[in-house]
Amino acid sequence: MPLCRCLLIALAAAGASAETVTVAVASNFAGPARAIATRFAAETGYEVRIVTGSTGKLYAQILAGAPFDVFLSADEETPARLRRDGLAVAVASYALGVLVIVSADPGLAGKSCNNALRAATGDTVAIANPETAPYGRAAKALLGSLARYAKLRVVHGDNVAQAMHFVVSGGARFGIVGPGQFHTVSKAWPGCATVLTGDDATSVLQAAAIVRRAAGARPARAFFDFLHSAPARGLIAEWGYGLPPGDA
Amino acid sequence: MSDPGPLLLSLKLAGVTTAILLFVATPLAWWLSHTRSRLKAPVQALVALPIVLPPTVLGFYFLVFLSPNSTLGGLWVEASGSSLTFSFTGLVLASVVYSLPFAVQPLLPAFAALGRREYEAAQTLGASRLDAFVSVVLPLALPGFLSAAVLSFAHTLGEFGVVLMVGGNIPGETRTVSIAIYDHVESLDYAAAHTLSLILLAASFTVLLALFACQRPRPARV
Repeated sequence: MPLCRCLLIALAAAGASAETVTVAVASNFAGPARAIATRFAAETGYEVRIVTGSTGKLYAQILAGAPFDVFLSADEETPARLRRDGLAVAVASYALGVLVIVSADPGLAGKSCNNALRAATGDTVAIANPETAPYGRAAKALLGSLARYAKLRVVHGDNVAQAMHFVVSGGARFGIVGPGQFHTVSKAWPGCATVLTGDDATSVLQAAAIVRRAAGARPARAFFDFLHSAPARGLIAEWGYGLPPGDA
Repeated sequence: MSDPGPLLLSLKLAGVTTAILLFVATPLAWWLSHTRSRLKAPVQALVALPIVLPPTVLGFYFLVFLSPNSTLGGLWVEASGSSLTFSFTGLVLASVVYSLPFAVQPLLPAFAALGRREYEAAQTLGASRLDAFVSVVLPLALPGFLSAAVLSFAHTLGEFGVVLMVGGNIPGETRTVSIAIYDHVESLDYAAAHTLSLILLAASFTVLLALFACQRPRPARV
């Protein structure tokens, strides 16, 4: 056994330096998170590593021991559950997301994507996997409330970024994504886009958590707090997100 | 934007994996090519499994067995303070298993063609078993070793499913080139995805071209 242990120690790879903060980000927020991280790094000198994926997948990875310090979820429930399980030490909401209906069909340019989706039959619509992604869950609920779920061919992306990729690459006529996905391509978008603002039923309150392994780590706490700083809030708004109630 | 990080990480992973594999696969292939044991068929099947199994199955089992909640993973965390899952070390471990058949298979025909004659002759002349192997078998089976190294390296370089399952896409640690491409496509950065894909395509072709060019039978000289 001692020999075995020595081998294990000898083989173990050195972890990231203490001045680095690894942030796991729900895919919908990848763009703004990168922008915030750049700003944060410039102001504090800490290095930020961004890892993206669907909320459910990142949650499972945290359970399995992934070396994440801060987790930016696409919902409130997952960070709350981490805290209940003793896997998160601090939780706070950082952004209010909304659903965006998009289509890259040039025939729909200048029109309402919302109306086009309501009238569509048999078209493919890409959403994030409702099982693992809060945006997928919200999109599925929206399709259900529009009574479109059975009338359209619904395809699932692994996360909301992949759903957007299906739309951009032409595989799906419609997509229901997050503000971050549309902001990336909004400058030269050939089709339509409808942002469902003011719709409480489909808006998504997103919360962040400091993962237990980073309890007491200064870079993690600094990034967590930075989410509520003026520059970060400016970037969050620029990317089409609202600020959480009580934080605006 | 094209960050060389993932490319370098993949090269490092493939290099380390290949080095370990040559040490693991050589005795295994030697034993397989000469044994009459009843265990031969089961061991052969076990070694070839990663060719048939979906990488997700392999990745899933690695995730389960390497996770800090498992016996092995827990022992590792206790000893090293870090988790095997989502780490470079974990990736190396998974890649060694994943690419094992690609190291063993090319060695089998090389060893079988060689037979045991030269090896035993060297031993009767007083060489130790290790010495006989290193100075007689190794040079004679060199083309087999070359194929084994090249195939393991190339196979690990292109690894995706296993890395996705146990790696967790962490920059500098587990974001290999194939994961980076997947990431770029998702974030709609098609230019960066193209760059990395093209590099991978060119590298794979070059490696295989070099391998097959080396293996071409040389015209006999009279």
